[in-house]
Amino acid sequence: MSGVPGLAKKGRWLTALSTVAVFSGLAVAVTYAVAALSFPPGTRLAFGVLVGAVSVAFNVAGDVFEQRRLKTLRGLGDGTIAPRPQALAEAAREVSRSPDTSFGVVLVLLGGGAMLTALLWSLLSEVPRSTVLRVGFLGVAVAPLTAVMANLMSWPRVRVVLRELVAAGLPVDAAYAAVPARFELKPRLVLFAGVATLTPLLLVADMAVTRLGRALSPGGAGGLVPVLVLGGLVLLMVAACAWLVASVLSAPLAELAKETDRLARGEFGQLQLVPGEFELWAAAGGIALLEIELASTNRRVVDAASSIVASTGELSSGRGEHLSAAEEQSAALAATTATSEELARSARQIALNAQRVSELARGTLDAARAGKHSADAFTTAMQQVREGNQAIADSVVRLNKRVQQVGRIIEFINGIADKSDLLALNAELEGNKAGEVGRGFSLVAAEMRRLAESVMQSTAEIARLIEEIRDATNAAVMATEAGVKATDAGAGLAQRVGEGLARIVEFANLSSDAMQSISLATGQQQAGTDQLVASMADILNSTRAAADASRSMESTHAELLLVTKELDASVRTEVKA
Amino acid sequence: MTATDSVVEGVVLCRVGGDRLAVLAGDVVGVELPDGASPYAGRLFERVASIPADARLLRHEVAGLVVDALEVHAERLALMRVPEVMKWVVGGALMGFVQAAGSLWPVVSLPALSRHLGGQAGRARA
Amino acid sequence: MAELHRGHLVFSCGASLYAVPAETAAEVVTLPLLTRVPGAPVHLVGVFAHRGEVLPVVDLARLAGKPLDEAFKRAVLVRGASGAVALTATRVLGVSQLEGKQDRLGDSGLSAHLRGPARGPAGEVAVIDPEGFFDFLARGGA
Repeated sequence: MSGVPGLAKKGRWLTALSTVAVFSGLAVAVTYAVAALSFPPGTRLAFGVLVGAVSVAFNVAGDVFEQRRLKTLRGLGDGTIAPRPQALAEAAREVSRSPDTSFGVVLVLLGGGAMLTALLWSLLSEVPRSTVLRVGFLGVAVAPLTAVMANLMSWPRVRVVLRELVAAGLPVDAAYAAVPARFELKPRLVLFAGVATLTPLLLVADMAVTRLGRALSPGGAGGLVPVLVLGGLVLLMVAACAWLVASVLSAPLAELAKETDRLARGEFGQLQLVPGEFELWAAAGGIALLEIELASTNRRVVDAASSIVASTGELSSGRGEHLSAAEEQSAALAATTATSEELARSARQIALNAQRVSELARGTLDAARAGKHSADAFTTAMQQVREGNQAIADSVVRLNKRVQQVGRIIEFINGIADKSDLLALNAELEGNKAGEVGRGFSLVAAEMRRLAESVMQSTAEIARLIEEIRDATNAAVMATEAGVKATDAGAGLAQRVGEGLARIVEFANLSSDAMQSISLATGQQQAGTDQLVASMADILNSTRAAADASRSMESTHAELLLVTKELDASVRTEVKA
Repeated sequence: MTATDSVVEGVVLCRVGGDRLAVLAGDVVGVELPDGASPYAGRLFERVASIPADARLLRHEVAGLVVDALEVHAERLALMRVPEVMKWVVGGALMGFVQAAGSLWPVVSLPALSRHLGGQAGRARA
Repeated sequence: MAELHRGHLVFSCGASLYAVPAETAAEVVTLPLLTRVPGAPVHLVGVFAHRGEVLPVVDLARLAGKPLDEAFKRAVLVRGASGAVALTATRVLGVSQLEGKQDRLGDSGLSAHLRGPARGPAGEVAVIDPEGFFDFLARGGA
């Protein structure tokens, strides 16, 4: 797993300059010792070895301590920790604490190292007490300046690492939030000024005293070179510290100035980290917050402007539509008004018709009731006719039977008459054959024949009559049967007619009620339609007025649209610029 | 005046359509199915009806007469004389009349009738 | 031939009136169901048994060439030397004296055996000459 490229080995890089500061201070201290101290014979080597050993050991220990305080940063650098915002923020906190850590470590190492060196040297060699004490003093005197220098030298690198963290994904506002602002610039500057003033002062004073004593003592001929070197070193350190302070302060200020200038020009959007310390950090955080706020406000303004432009556009086209719609509406309303008037006329006609139909329905009801009574009477009459017909049919059948009986009797009589005629004929023939004797007999026979013939004529007449009666009765039977059937059919029809009329009465009743309701409703509708016509006229007038107003609004709105577009363009230009 | 001058013993009563005739049983040598050559008695009554399917042929030697149906009456019957004005009918083959089964039956001589009909057929062919 | 002033039985057959001398008219009968005779001419409509005698029935209308549709109810029995025949009658009017001539009414057929013209109470009558009429029938009515 590879870490964040920009953070690789940045832990060591961040604290490397504190080692430089330590060795710078060490150089000052050693120089001073060489120039100011009078080493007993044979102790110089031991001193040199001690200083070297202690300084290396302490430096290593200090370095380990410092690296332990940068665990997250190192983890991000070598990839053991994922570059999540939380880890990045923790690394930012570690990094921002790093200069103070260096300060403390350097102060303790130099002071403690001088003390330890002096103690060990006194144990190893025969060295005057005053010399040992002066070694210790030297460490205490040089340590604050060295610590300040280490502290100041760390800040630029801290800033670099913070930028790398932001580049690795730490949001700028989160970076500002992660590292709390400390308002300590003033005491720091006072401390620095004090250290920068007191350290040369102490060293120079000590040097002066030492030099004075040596000059006074016989054989003491101290050169000016070590003093000048020492003075130069100290001045160099102080000057470095002053330059560092100035640069530490000026760089963020310059950047903040640029930032504020950018904000002033309205270029929001990409937040820039401005690493700095103390009040500068707070100021940078505040400016960042301000930018965020400004960006948000600007977005809202742009959105609002866009909305206004869009709305104005829509409103503009809407005005046009509204205008044409109003004109269409006006035309439609004119047509509707005409239609309404037509409707009103129709409604009046309908009301009139409904009134007539209602009267007709009432008439129909009365007629249907009368019809039903007639149909009932007709049904009864048909029933009576049917019964009468049946009686006639029965009588005719009985008559037919009697006539048949009479016919048989007549046939019988006719047969007897025929036989009598034949007998009389033969008797007449025989009487005639008998000549004069049979004349009387013949006369009687002829008379008998006439009688028989008249009987036969009568029976023939009767037979003819019977035939006629038979035909007549047959016709009557058929007629009465047909009559019975017809009356049956008529009775059925009459019953159906009665039922139909009963239903008609029912429907006519309903329709009469319905027609009265319709008549009432159409009357009301007519009134409503008249009101509608009046209302339509009013609406038409109002709509015409609205159309006129819309036309005047249209021109006003075109001007408004122009203004709005200008506003939008200006807002966008500002933002982009 | 006596209407009968002889008796006959055994006659064959024949039905031809709605009409009747009788022949002497002794003249009939056999009853057969129509042979197609013998004449149909219906012709004597001027009937044009075709011969029924169940008609019978009264065989007399070489000739015969086809009738619709027949029954044999074996009793003695008085043979009533033919009126003078009818003696010439069917070439004199009409022998008389018998009363049988409640009806009057004309009795014809089968040989004489055959001769008469054969003669008629011969004249018709000539 | 009997004299006209003596009684004649007058009868009609169809539209014609005929008469026979009363002494030759044996009887007036009601015709029963007739038996048709095989090979008989059309005017010999059949026979019937009457008082033990077979009587032939002669249809005068057919014989005169004027056949009638109606069935005859009555017949007049006429007796000659060679027997009796029944003459169909539509109506038998009775015995009457006739006036008029006794000449032959024709030269051939039935009319050769009718005499007249004679008149009766019912109109003009043709009188049948029985003997010639019987001969005529015995010859086959031709």
